[in-house]
Amino acid sequence: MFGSPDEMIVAPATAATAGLRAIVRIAGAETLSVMSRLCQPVDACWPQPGEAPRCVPAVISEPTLVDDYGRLPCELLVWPGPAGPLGGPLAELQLPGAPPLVAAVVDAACRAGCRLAKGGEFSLRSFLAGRLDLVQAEAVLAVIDARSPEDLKAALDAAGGGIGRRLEALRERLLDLLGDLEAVIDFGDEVAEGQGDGAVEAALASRLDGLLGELREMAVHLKQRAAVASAGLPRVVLAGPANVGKSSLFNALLGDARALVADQPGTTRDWVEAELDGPLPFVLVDLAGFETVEDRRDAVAAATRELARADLVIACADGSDAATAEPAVLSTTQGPPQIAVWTRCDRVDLVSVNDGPLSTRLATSSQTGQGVSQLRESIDAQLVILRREGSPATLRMAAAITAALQAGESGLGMLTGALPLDEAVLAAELAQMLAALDEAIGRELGNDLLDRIFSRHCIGK
Amino acid sequence: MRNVYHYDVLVVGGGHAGAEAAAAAARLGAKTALLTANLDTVGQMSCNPAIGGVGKAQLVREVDALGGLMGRAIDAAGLQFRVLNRSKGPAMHGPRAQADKRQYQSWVKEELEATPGVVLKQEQVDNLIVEEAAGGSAQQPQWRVAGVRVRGEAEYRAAAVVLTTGTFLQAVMHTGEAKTAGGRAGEGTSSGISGALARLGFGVERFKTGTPCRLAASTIDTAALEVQPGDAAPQPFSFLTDAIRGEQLVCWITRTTPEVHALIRANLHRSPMYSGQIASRGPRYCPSIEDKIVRFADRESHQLFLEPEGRRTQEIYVNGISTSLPRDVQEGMVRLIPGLERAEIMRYGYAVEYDYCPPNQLQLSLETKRVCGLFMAGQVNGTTGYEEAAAQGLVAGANAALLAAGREPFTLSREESYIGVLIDDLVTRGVDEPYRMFTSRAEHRLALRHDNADRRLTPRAAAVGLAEPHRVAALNAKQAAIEAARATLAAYRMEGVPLLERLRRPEMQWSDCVAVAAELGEVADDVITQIITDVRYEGYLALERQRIARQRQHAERPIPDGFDYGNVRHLRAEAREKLATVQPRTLGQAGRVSGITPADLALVLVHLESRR
Repeated sequence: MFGSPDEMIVAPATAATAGLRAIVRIAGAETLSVMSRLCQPVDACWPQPGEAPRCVPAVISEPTLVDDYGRLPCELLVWPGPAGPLGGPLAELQLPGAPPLVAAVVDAACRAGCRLAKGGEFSLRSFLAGRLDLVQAEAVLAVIDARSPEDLKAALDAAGGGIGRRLEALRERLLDLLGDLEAVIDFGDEVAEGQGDGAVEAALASRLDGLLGELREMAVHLKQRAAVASAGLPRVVLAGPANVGKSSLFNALLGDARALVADQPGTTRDWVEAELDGPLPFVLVDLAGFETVEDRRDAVAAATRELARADLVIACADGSDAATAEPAVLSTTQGPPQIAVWTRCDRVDLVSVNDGPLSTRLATSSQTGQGVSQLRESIDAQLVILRREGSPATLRMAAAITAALQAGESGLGMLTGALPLDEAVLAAELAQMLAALDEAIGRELGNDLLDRIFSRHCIGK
Repeated sequence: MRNVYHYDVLVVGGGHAGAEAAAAAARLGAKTALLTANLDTVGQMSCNPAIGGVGKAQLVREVDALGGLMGRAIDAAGLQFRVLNRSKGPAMHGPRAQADKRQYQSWVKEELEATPGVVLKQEQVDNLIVEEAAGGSAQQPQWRVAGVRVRGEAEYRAAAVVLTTGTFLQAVMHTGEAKTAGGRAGEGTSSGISGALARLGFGVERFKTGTPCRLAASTIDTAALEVQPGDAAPQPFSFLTDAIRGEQLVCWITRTTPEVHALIRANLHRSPMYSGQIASRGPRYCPSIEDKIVRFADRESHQLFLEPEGRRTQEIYVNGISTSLPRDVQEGMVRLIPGLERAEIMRYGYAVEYDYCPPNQLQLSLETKRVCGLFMAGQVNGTTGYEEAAAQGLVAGANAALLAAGREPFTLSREESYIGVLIDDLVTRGVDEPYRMFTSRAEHRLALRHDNADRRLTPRAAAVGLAEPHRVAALNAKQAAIEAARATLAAYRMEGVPLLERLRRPEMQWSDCVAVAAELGEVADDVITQIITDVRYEGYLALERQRIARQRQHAERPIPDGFDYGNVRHLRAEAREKLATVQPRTLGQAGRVSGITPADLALVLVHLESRR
């Protein structure tokens, strides 16, 4: 069900594309107070109810945001009264287009009393306020209906790196668990029959613990993915042992752009990076530069730093070693996604490479150009996925998972004795957890993609 | 030549729904006749001689809070009282009582006889009298009920009729291969009403339920069995009962054995449930013993409870062994059960199939959508259980009286009562198996406790005239006592913290408060329960209230009668069809219709708005 138009809601109104301006929309009766908890007007004060809408230059003042981003300047377009596009207070917070910043601002707004807007909620409010006509409202809602559940699932999966599917499975398990708990409540005598004191609770606790573990993992994963789309272009790093042919591959990938690199002032062999155009522009970084640094510790530190910043890693290994051993690669599972390649494949008998377990790597040769265009395609494909993950859909998913975790953790506390156990309260917590997951999956009300549809409709303007 | 009698309200059927319906209608001042085929079975407990349990107890307490009979009846006739789920939180407590079933029904009958405005009549109702009302069309005439026709050339006329016919419509009982017409052992069936409903265009479907055998206590080796005693301090159901005084009886526990299961398995082909003789669906949560053995094949044993049916009878109800197996199998399996080796069966178990009217043909007042003035309550709506029947009976009876008096209907919401949950579920979602109450059906379980039913509902009942004056006075006194004690708790401090706040901690006892403020020692137990429970659930209740308030705004948005979903452009065909069938009265109700998406709702809302 849709909430009251007075309820505080927040949602990013623009797709998260680094570099452009991002807009976060906040609406509801308490808009002014939420705004003043997030930022301060630079000179004047906020427009008060009854005043005309206006644009207010401001700085971010919410403590956690200030910690992470400093007192960032921003602009707010504020409709203080009922005359605005939603028939009630509305603020549009205009920020630098950094997806993590947008996420953090949405988060902060939630802490200040907002909830994420459900799909269509801004448009619905606009319609109810008489600012959107029937045909427009219908058109928007029709788009929502046109999406089959399969489409939605597929889109969510693309957005969350497969998390949609995992959440579905997790939801099923939670539903089972909740069902079992309800059985204990409604048929306690029968369900717990023949089991020792606390056995039922212990079993529920371990199942819930398992679910929460997976959720936590997903939350970390999403956060990493969201962080990928950080300010500036995504960074694709060529990594691997010394003399494996990284620089050659770097040049091969650059192709015609190579001259640009050479022309760049200040370019040294310490490290090289180059901007590449494509469906999504990115920065290609060649770690080979570090190999010539004399101080080995500096080189390692610089490489580590660069890897930590990486959005995508091309893990290179010498193809001529392929037959003898699987060379060590970046052994991190938590880091950025990787594309594994063999270099210098012109020097080896490819049969041995393309067969067996070693064929999981892409075979390339900078000499013959073999595999280079495939590598470029892989990079572009990965980047498209990464880019989507900084979207409002992911934000919504992350927020919902956080909410689910919160409810689940206090439920777990009850089962493990940290909090007094009351099965009805526990069930309420788990139901809330379920509702949060439903929201993440888009099963119940808002499916996050709808938000995006609506956010693209510039309502009231 | 006909004999014609005139009333305001007619109640057809004298079971738990019918009794509450007649009493409620009379409380609202309607001249009411209760018509039943057998006056000796008014208030009869056809199956389990018990009232209450988890979820059901809340219904009983709510019926009582609204001035109903059930709570007082069981307090008078109970022979063992036990609170289920006592180790769990207060929102899950489920008081349950075994009843002396003869005493129970005679209490109900006496109470009805003593109720001004109620007349009990032994009549077999054969047909409904309906008239065409204004507002219909040639294709879809609107009907209005005018009364009923009874056997023996007589008519009863009234503006409102409440059907509470239980399992008696087209009823067939099965014991093994044997089939007998009848809604309850030893009784007949009624076919006239089913026919009348079908002719009026009502959908009529069939359900099945069952009952176990009854044994002679004198032939049971109770010494060999585990005893299940009642609570030391029995808790009454009615807010008007101060204490339970009668002596409490014990029940016994035994179990089925692998031998019993083997015997049942060998005879499954003779069970009407498995031979195909019964095709209709029964309740999953109240399975027959043959169902349990087939569906939970790995369990070697099932618990059985032996429950006395009264103080002056040898009959023992065997809870957990409902069956429709043939007589010889019933005898064989009973004698394989520990303690029952010599047991004599006094009544055989049986399954009964009966007609019910899918309840999505009703409004929240329990008036049918098709025929004005015709109400339905109880098992005829596809529910099971005395408590569920009583709750519906009360609401239907009250609304019948209100309609006869030209007043607004009385409905309860999901947020304020289990009764609201029950009726909203029935009317909005329909049923696909006999409907029973569970606490998990109530979204607002923490607020809807059995202990606060009076605080929730008696004021509602008083406002419409359903609650007796002394009940209202008792509630007011209790509320005042709660306020006074809370004021004291707020005034005194312990280690600098007001007692009221400290009471939130689970380890804090009332006696600790009395140690600080002696006057708290005078506070009555039920008041203490209210205060402690309120305080401990406060945080959660606040969240729950927030959720309710959030949902209300649009949820209560009414959808006009006859709203044409065909005009809602872009609405999916499936949604259009479902909403047209259910005809929800509010947007909230529409949202609970299965398969309706938020986008569907948004489209409906958009159209409601554009019509303004």
